[in-house]
Amino acid sequence: MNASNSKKEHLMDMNKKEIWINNTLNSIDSIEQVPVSDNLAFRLDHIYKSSQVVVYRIQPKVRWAIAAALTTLFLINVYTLSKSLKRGNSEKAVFANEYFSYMNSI
Amino acid sequence: MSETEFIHLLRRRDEQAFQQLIVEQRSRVFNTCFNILQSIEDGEDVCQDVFIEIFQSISKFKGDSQLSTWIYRIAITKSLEFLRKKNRKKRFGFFQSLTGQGDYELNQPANFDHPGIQLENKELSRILFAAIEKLPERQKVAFLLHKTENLSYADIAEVMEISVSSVESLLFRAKQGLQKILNTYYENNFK
Repeated sequence: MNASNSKKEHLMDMNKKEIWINNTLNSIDSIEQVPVSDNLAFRLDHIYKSSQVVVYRIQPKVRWAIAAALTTLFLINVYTLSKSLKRGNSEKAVFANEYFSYMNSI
Repeated sequence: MSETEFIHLLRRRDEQAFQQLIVEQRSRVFNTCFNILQSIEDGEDVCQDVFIEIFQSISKFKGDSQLSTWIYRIAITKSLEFLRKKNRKKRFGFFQSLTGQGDYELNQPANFDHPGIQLENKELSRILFAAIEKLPERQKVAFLLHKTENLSYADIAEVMEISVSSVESLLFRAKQGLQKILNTYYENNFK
């Protein structure tokens, strides 16, 4: 008798628990959308102006002119550099000649 | 106006189109972020980030899905990124999960009061939201999209870029996980 009673109680407890779990799982089934606050609406309305990216369009002609100018500048630099290197080498050779001829004379 | 024309206007940075997009999508975006983050302030911050991201990357939108699906994806990604950053600070919870203790116990008190829940369900929903917090990310997202946004399995699959069967599996595991957590909660609090 006692055993069957405790078994019944246990089953009732299990049922109670399962009902509670199911009710909890279904508690958000009829959830409603939360309205957007005025503060958020204001913040969102201002995104467009603050996130505007200004794009400057460069005409193809101007683009080519800039490219040509940069290339010319680069070539002038290379030319000047190679010339100065050559001059530097010949000056070094003259100095070395003078130095060794002086050493030889000593 | 068709969606393609609308997207074209957005790409051209048409102000009116952007304002229309905001008005049409702000409630959905905010509610998605809010339900994942369980905080109005965080939900509003992330919602703003989502629209900034939309403005900045609308030119990258290929149009291979619906605009609303693409926006959902951004909202979910941004919310999860926010959550990860926030959770990085909670080292203790991490160590608990490493040792396997408290897996089915609620870490945080059930105090999230969702304004969209009916009064008679408030108490139970607080416990459920605390339990949802314990779920792995993907299960949580699938469960919330299904329950709070009323999205179908096919829609969830598209938003999460997975198959419908994977959605079914995620939802099944989410429900199982929640049942275990709620079972432990019941045993600890009502017995």
